[in-house]
Amino acid sequence: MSELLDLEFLAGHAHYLLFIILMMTGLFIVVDKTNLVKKIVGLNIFQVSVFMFYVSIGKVTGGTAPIFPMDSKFHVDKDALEGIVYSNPLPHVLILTAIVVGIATTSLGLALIVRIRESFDTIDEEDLLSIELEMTYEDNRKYGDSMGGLS
Amino acid sequence: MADTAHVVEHTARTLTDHLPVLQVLIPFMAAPTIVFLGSKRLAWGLAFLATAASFVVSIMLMLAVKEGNFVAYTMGGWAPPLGIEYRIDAANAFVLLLISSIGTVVLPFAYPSVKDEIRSRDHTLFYACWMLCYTGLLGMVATGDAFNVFVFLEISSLSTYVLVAQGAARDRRALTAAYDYLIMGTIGATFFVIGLGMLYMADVPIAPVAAKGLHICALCGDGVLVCNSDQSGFVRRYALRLFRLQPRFFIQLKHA
Repeated sequence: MSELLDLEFLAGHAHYLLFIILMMTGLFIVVDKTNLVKKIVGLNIFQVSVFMFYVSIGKVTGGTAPIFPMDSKFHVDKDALEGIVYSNPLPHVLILTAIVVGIATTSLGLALIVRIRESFDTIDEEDLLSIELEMTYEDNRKYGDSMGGLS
Repeated sequence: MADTAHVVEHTARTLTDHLPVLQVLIPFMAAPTIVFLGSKRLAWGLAFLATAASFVVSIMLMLAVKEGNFVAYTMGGWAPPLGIEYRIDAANAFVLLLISSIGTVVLPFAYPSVKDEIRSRDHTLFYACWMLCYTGLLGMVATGDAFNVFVFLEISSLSTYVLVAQGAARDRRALTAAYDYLIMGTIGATFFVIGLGMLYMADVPIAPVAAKGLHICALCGDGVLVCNSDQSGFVRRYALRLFRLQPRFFIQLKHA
């Protein structure tokens, strides 16, 4: 069993497994759910998995917050500098931008859902599809002849 | 650092040195200006003015790089490993010219059709969204930082979702179309971010370094590190240590 399953390797890469599980959960919700709000929730889980992936790759074992040992007069403490290990701040900073973008996407999606509810009286995708199919049949009855006789 | 007077010397002294950022900044600032002025007639005029101005800028950039050299612009004077760099070479400048010329040609013809198809109270917001979309397209091409490409991608796609939904005045199916596009576009953009993370991991301790003006090279490890001479000391001493950077070439920009 231990030869088939390298537990130490798995434990070392646990954050990748969690990232993939979370990501697939989000993607499944987006594809499977018919409620538009639930789709947005799935999209958020999907995005958050990527944020966690980024944050986890920036972590250095035993690393501390990347703040330079410098006092208010910009004097660097040379002794404190030796042997200090920093986590990589760059992925964290990058993902801060992606979080803001994710919030903008979520709010735009929710605003669209409000408008869809106003004009279709439903936020269920199956109902929306049947309404749109009915509208398409109506269009075909009206304009089908001029478009090539689809009616 | 306490005893050294930190004199910042500007490498960009004239307006021509700021062309790479003006290319993106002119349409970007036009969008909020259109919203705050809130005038329907002025909206189209401002949008056209900004588009034409960025067209002129892209022509000037094209003339500057047609010999095969490139124009590098570091945002706020921060060198590439820490800051964002705009880098215009001949390929970039050509695509910039393409986008801005199409925008300039299309906008006069858009005036009557926007008047017909968009509700009149939405005209200013329509042109604001249009300018943001245009900004995103220009920025994606102009920037030399791979993550910044994602930011501009989202700027252009978020405004495009709104533009698609504008069709709801005529046909309410535009709303569901915009929603579907939002879901698809966000999943696609998120996969783009995952790809960037994978690339970054392949070369873990390396910050973005632009090698050849290709966006993807912004994340290559053993590239060229360019920095201003007034920052070279700081970058050498602290930033390289902080990020454990080991650039193959260290270029220090000299200026008079």
